[in-house]
Amino acid sequence: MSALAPADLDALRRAAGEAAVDASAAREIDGAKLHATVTPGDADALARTVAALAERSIGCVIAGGGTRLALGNPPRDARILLSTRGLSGVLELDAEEGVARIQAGTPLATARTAVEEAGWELPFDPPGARTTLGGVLASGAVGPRHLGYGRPRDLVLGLDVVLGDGVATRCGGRVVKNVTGYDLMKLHVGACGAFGVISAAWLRLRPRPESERLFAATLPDTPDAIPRAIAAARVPTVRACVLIDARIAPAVEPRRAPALGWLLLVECAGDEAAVARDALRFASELGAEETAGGALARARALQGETFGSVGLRFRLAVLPSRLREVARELHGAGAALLVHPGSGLVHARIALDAETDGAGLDRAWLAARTAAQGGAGHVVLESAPGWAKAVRDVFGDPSDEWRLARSLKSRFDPASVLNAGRFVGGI
Amino acid sequence: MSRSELVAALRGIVGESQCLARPEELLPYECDGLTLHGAMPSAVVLPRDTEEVARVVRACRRFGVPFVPRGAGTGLSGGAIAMEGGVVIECSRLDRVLAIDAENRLAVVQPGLVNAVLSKAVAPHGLFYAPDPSSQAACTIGGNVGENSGGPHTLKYGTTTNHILALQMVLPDGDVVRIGSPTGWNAGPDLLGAVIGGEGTLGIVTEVTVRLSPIPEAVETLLAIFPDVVAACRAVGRIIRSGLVPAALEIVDRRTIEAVEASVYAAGLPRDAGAVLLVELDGARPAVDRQIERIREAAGAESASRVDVARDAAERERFWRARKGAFGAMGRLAPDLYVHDAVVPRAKLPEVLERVCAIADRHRLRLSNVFHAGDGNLHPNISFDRRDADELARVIAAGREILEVCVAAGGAISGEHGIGVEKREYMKLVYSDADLEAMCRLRAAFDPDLVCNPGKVFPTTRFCIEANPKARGYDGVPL
Repeated sequence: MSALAPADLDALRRAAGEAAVDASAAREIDGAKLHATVTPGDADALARTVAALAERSIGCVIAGGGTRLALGNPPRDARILLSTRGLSGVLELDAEEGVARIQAGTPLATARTAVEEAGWELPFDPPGARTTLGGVLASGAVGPRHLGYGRPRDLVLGLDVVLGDGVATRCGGRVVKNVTGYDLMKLHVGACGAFGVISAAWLRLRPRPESERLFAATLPDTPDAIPRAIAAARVPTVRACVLIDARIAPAVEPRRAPALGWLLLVECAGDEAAVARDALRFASELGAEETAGGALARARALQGETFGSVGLRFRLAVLPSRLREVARELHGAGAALLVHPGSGLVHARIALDAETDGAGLDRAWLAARTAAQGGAGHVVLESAPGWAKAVRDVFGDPSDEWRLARSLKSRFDPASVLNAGRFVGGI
Repeated sequence: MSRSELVAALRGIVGESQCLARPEELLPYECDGLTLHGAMPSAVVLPRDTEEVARVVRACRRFGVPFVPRGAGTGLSGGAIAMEGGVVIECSRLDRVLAIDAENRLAVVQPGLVNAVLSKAVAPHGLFYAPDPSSQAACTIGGNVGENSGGPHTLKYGTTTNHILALQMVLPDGDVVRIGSPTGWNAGPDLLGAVIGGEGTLGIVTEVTVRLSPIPEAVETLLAIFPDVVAACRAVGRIIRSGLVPAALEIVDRRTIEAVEASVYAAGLPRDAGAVLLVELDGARPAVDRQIERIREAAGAESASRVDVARDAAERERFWRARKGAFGAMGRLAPDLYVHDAVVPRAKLPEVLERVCAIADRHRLRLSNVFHAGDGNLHPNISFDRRDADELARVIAAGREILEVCVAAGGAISGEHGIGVEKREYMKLVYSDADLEAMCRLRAAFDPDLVCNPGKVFPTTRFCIEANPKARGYDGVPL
């Protein structure tokens, strides 16, 4: 990919504003060279910037806090880093209704503070201290509390999106129930920016729970460990339930981590009396003890980690009833697991031996694919060194949806400038 | 190629008896639950499996005839009628439960399965299917997918889109594809979101994997009587602000109470009540018990004259009759009923209701309100006689004004009934040309030739046609 011409930079400066374009520091993402960062200051500037990129066929990588830049196939053209950080702030917060309109570049932590001050809870808790709302929505990332909060797709009421040709659009609205035309929100949530750049979102908030309590238990490595964890996750007040391999559990609960088997964290939230009843149940059925909330934050951080810079991290989604076999398959490949037994999500970390351990990569993929197929689900390679991502599609095996995705890409981003090459099938 | 050749080709696929083509057979398909709009199909087919649906679609393509899927035809926006002399693909023979996986809380069903039958089928496993539109005894899962149907329990449980895990569908080019995953997670674009609520314009759904929910440990139903509808709305605001998320929060206004009490649906409501608030609480027993007290407090603070808790299943059913019997009760008032559907931010409900009633009064129309108050989802019902041309014109005019009021309040023009033909011209009240054009891009990715349920959702002028210059004009009008 050729470098940026001075005329390209001029066009971007005209679109986004002189101060919004920084060509001083070059970077790389998965081997693709970034020449400049553009940080539009508002949604109009964002639309003008994307229009300029499309007109000149300059590819960009979209970034919020930069937490999940590792997600996706290697970019085909990443000359521009398009930052949403200039679109920051809560635009509207209706404390009466429990809905808020928040700009995409708003750090989740900032949004959370504002929402909590208004007496509500922001229902997103993915790993990453700098993560922004736009990043969470575009990646569809979830944290341990997704069990209680729901999936990001289910929490978005409306979106402002700039399409790949710079057209600013709005879909959905601010009301909690809406079938006015197609639901385009869900198309953009989790699409890694392939079809547009999210600039703001209307979100449904949750009431703050009256009571929140965290419990930890150890489960021996017996066949009933995972079924017991699934049963715990299905107790109505449970908001988060995480099962962590003994091998990596000391990072979460240094004192309680077992030598073998699993560490189980269960967080209950809601009505005080109901939570108290479930606490007794966990104590008697699992021998669970109450622990400080920091353990859940550490588990969340652990979910986003790898074994060093050359390590792999897969995310599998499988049927809960198949988790036992899935875990066995992955353990056989030397993986360390962090499992959300209630929803069937498995984060599997695998160490590679060397900088270019092709055989290790193949073994890891084979195990991950076998496990995913056995679990009636799929696997995504969420984090890996650049060379390892160039070998095969990080989103796993093609499906019918990929063909439709290609057709959508050609219509929503005709010049293919938004995160080009990064999403499924290299679109 | 002629219509008789088309019918012969369709009969070759589904069999003689499963393809209707005589005028008297087609008449029931002229309209759906919204009788204001009608269009006669050229034929109706009743396929028995996915393969037959795919072959019917391919035959329609060969003949250049559009097609439209249809469930029970209970829709209220004209979504299931065949414009441009299209073929109706009737899904009533695709009505089986294919699999129940209680361990993973899911079921695989065919689109023609009746909503209430599904919940009944999974009840022995301690599970239920949460979306329960008022027509659940008749409407089908496929129709619910098409419309992204809601119902009285969406406040807590969400709408259809939150409960569908995967779909098999026949695309408008006749290809059979699977989208979504039984796991509920995607490794690719979330196409379920678009297809659910796509009003049958993106393809014909032939198999549905649904998420099932555990039957809650405790359910309590409360009925509170208020002096007027504003007080009832305020009580709803108090309840939501206090952090409760009841399973249902439904309000019935005075005009509806009068109609219900005069009908076979009579629920024993005081006839002088200004409004009734129906609250359903579900969840863990200790939580529900405490919530009952909080509801009593909230209702009392907004001058409720009484709050009753249903003592048993029979009483719960009687309470619900006040709400669910409303549409039937209206039948006593006039031959036709126009059930409107719009959403506003909940806090705006009192002022919007006042304006809605004023609009009806100004147009000399009989209007009553039942609504999903927790969601801000209004259903102003207008009783009228369609044979009275003047009254019909006033009904239409009032309908548009009601939607304008809701949009001005920050709301949406449909919460659960869809756009269909009914509201396609009103889409511009909510969306800009660019917003609508973005929807057309999605449409074009699935149905570039606009053959799948044409004439719905989008305004008749220009939209989607721009995205595809080769496409026909709507309603047979050449470009």
